[in-house]
Amino acid sequence: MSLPSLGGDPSAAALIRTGDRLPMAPWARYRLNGERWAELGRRLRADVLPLVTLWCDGEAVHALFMDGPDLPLVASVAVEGRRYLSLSPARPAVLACERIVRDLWGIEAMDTGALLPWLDHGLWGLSAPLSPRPGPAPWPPEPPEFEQTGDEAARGATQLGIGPVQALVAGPVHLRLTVDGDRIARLQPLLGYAHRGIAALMRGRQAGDAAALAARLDAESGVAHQTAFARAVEAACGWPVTARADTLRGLMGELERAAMELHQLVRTLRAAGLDRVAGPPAALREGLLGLCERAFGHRLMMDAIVPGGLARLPSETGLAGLLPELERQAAAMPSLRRSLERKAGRRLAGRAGDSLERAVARLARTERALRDARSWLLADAGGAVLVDAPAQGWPEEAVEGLGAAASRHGTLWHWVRLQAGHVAASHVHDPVLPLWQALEQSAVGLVPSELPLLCASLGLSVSGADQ
Amino acid sequence: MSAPPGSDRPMLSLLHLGGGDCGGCALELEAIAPDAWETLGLRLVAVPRHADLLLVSGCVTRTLLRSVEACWAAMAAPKQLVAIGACALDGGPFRGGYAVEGGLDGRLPVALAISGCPPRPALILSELRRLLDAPDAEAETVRPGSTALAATPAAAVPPQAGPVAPPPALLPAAPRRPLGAGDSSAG
Ligand code: SF4
Repeated sequence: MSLPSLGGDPSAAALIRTGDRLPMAPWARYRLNGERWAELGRRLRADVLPLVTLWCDGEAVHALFMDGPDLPLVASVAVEGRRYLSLSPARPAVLACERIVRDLWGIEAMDTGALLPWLDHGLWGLSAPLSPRPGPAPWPPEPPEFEQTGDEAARGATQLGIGPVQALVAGPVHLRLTVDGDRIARLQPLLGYAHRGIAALMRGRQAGDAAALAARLDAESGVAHQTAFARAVEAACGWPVTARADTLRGLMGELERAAMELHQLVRTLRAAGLDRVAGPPAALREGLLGLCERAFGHRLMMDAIVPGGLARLPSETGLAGLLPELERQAAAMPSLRRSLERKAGRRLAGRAGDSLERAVARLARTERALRDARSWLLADAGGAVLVDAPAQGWPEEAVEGLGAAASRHGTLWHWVRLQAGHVAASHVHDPVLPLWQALEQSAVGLVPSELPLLCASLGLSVSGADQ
Repeated sequence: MSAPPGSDRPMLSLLHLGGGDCGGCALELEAIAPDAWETLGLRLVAVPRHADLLLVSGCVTRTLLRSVEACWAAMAAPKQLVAIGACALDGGPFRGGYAVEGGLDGRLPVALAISGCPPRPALILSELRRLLDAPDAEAETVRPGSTALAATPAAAVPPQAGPVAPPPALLPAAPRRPLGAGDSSAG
């Protein structure tokens, strides 16, 4: 097939930039025609350009790539006849996204084989809920299907179902284990039980109100979600935020990260039956949450960040109390590490992958987060935290923005399209979603009794994945 | 059966069921130290069959409804149901979504509702203590042979106060609540 005017650069990123440039802020989005999208799929087989997430707004499918550590690049293609050409043959990690697009919009990815449902268990009372014309519910709801290969059956492997009500991870999920001998031969997670339909709940809501939903996507990364959402809205509207709001968002993000790393460590230790060893990190985390409450009014810092800045000024006495405690906690990390290695080393080392290594890495990340929090705190020069949204005015026309924030599992992304200040469409990428796919691999070869430790030490969460 | 320290009440077993939610209430439950549960005379279990108390956080999604009902049905009477947070009572901020059935309210007999989004760990503990210390007549206990689907008695709830309560659009409209005090995590 000949593609005119592509120039000499054979990279996938260069191909994307030949598309029509659309006004998304602060990074551009490029619309490709069907032919170029197909060529993109081919180039991705030879090109390493990372694909982060893929979503749909009913009319087009969008794919977010990273053309460098800080350079997102979005390619879009129009949906025709409720279909688009799949990118998962070249990027298996977006298979979950393609399954979610099908569940929410009834829009199919072509050329990737039959897509199993990811979120939709047939119990919503309708199908394709985000589509302008949702379909009827599939009836009767089909029980989840789990494949078993003929080979596994022939070897006499047994299947074991756990959940959705279970104590392995916080939140409901069903895990289907295929056990061969005494080892896990395969693990298939079934998600969707915690799906609340946040994209539909956000739609039509004023962007300022929708921030409260962003705060409740996943409490384990609530600050990161609030920040990314606010940044997407601010980018779309062209609003500045004050230096202080930016600094305090950074501070809150690091406090959240430090507290969550400690909490994951506590979970891991409890899963290994080491309640006593979990005491000191749990106490440190409680100390941090108390400080968050005093400074920002809420232990988990929900409803603290809004488009335009912060919802309210922090408490000055609360902020003043933070500095000595951050220094004390950062200084306590090396001794915490030594006592962890001494008291938990034997129970964790070499189990469920290497849980000790992961626990020690958590402490290192906690320490870094505490130090970064301190730097943010020292950079805070006071002043206003909110540039008043109504004063800035909502653009009347449709505007689009993309926002990012660091979460404990990596960068998370929010994309919004606003119309007169109301959410017309949105998408959230939480990096916990690919972790579920990673679990499928890391569980293989373990004995089933190691599963609680593996789940705890990976830090899986259901809320951010299911939305 | 062993007794909690300093009490003649037998230890009770508690099962936590996390529904469709942000996980905030579950985080606050996990923030409660193991010995605090023990002091209260509660022990955490993983199977409904062994549980005397079912603690639900998060909303009842349509996909989860059958599992919640099955979990409650699998518990042997006498048993009590506790709803933690706005979601568990009536769906909270996620009410009205296509995937959300709502909360436990009106569906299963809630003995105690602890409001907040999320409630603080200290409030969860003090409210549970109140439930455990309440004479049986006050809280709704499902006894052997009684119907498990009785509606909960209505009681007005004070509006959640404080600067960090979620915007009004997200708050449950005066949830009906049998026993328990309201609080948001506001400082
Ligand atoms: S009540 Fe609030 S904090 Fe608790 S799970 Fe629901 S949204 Fe999260």
